[in-house]
Amino acid sequence: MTLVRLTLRNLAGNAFRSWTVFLCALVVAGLTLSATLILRGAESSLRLALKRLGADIVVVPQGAEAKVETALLMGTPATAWMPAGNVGKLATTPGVAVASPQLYLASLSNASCCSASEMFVVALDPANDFTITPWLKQRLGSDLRLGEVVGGARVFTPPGERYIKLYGYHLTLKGNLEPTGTGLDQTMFLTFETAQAVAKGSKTLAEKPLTIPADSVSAILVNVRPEADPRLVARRIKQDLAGVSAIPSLDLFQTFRRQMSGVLRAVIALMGITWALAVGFIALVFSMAANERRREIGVLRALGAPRTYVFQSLLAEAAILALGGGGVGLCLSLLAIYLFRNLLVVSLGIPFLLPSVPSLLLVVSGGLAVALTTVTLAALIPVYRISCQEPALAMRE
Amino acid sequence: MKIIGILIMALAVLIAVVPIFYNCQHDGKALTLANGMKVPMKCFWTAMAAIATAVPLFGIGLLQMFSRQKETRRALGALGGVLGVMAIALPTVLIGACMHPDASCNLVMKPALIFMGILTLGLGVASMALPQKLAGQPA
Amino acid sequence: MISLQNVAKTFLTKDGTPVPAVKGVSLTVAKGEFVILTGRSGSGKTTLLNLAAGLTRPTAGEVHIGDANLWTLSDRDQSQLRNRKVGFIFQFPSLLPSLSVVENVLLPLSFRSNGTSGAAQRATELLATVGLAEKMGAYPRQLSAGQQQRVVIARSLINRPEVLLADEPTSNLDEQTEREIMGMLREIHASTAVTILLVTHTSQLIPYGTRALEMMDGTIRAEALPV
Repeated sequence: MTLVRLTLRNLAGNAFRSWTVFLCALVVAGLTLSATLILRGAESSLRLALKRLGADIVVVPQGAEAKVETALLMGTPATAWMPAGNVGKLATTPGVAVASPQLYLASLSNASCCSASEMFVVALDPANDFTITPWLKQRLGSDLRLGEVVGGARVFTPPGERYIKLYGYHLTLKGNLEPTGTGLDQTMFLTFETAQAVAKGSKTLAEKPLTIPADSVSAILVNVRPEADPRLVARRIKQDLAGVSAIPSLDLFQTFRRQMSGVLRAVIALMGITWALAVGFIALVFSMAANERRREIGVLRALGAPRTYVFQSLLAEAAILALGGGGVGLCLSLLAIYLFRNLLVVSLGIPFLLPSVPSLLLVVSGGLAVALTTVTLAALIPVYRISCQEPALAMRE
Repeated sequence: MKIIGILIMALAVLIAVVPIFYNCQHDGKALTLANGMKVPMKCFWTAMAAIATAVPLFGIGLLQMFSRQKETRRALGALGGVLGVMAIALPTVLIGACMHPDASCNLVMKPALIFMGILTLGLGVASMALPQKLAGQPA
Repeated sequence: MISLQNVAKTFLTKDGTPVPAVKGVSLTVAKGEFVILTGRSGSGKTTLLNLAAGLTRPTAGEVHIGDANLWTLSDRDQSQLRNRKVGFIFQFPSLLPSLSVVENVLLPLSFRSNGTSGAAQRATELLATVGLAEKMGAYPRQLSAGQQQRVVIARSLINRPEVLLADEPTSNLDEQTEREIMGMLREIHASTAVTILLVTHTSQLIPYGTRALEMMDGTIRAEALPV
């Protein structure tokens, strides 16, 4: 009868104790993984979104900062306008390498002339765009032509149709960008020329016309020279241009970052409470089980089992339950997060992207380590006490 | 077997109830045919089929609670596992859900059915594989 | 074989009051003896047995099994000594409920540091000796009290011990079963010459031994009189 076999028999012999510790380990591991995945997923999503934007500074009309951030992060359409002349002024600002204007538009809600309801649409100037155009050249080998669009990862042509309709205008989807887990995945990108064509056509083709104010842009994405400090350039832009807000990309999505740190604090508190409760509960259950098996342990010692054998045997029981419960908890948690990731984004209002496989393996190992540490730590004291007890005392009534 | 039986019954209830409240028909959306008639979208039929899967599953859970024989437990576990697979197959390959990723059938119904189907399958396998003692039955 | 030299054991109650259970007892059980130690409840006989086995540390005195002074050994060495040289028969049901009959008999071999070849066959033989060959795969809850005690006897002999220590092995059994168990022990003593120290509250078992002692108030008072 090896130690492992005896351990497994003992686990089977006390179903209540085994299932209780198993479930505690399941909850601790599952919660740890869920919280870590959600927070890391949100963080990596934000990072990818910033990388996709590619800009050092985002210039938007003053007062429109929050809604532009929401549009970029959550895909909730936003419209904001400032004079197109700002582009020329920005281009001559010291430190600015490239200034690329964008128009922010939105499809109609529940209209037959629009394939997607309330979709965020971004129009780019292909002459100086540095966000999508380089990707286009690399992936498709050409720029966007009139009537062609590029979609975020979740933009698609309706099944059975050849075009995406926008205000009655037929657009051809040329390709999809890699997912970011943010609103950019539900955003459609087209050129200024196509946007103007859609606006013109909407007067007759759409339920409601698309209006693009003349000589206006919604935002200007700025890349600074290598030797320039984006924060200083942003400050200069604010001084030189009235009625605009210049946001360095490092400061972008501040609202969400603050929200995330609030969520992080709540999650850490919840995890701390759960962990403490689990440790306390497992310690109690092990204490009860050790007390119940006092006599049995006394008999084992009498038959020649040294203290270390008893200690190792009981800790092995704890470890097996921890690994079993932790493993199941991690699998369930991972499965739930994977299946409900879209609901997470919509209900929590945060961006989210599943991490890469190596990163995931690291997080899973961490979760398993937490479960193992929790259970063995909780079981340590009762196990140590019972293994050190004199056999005669253990066997007494 | 009581615990596994209770869990299976709970999952059966969820498999029946969740899709009823998270399909596009419940949200007031329907397909308009060429002749102007409105018909439910396929997520509605998935929800109906989920009820048909949940009812026998509930019965299996109930029987599991009272089964004493190892062979009976294993047979019920196998049947439960099959119904779990059905719950997974309904929104994925058999009937399906809507195309729009933000529709409630895609946000809630489909992942919920898959998740609960996997749990049901897991419980079915567990009731076939677990030793009698850990399943709550004397050996 | 077993030698206790001036051993004493004092327990402390919850409020710290010392209670002497064994007071300065010196006892030698020679090799091959079958000693019956009688005494009333609370006389200290179980404590004396536990001291002899090294299951409790004496407050004073020395305990020897063979040449080894028990309390100069490490826990590991003491456990090994107990495993190799001592067999136990307890008063209470001491079979592990999660193990089958044959697994319980083989249990002491799990703690041996050296090989255990032929163990399965020896277990089968021992169970046949105690009349339970057909119950090898059964679990303790499927056995009567008398059958469980017979399995305990088989377990106590698996390592071919030099000493058997029995603490009221028949106190929970009816008269007929008691006679069967005691008869079995006498046969084992006769065939293997194992040294036996058996503790009991009834003097009716005295005739089974080669020597009888009486314990009273923590000391060995006299040779017990046969019934």
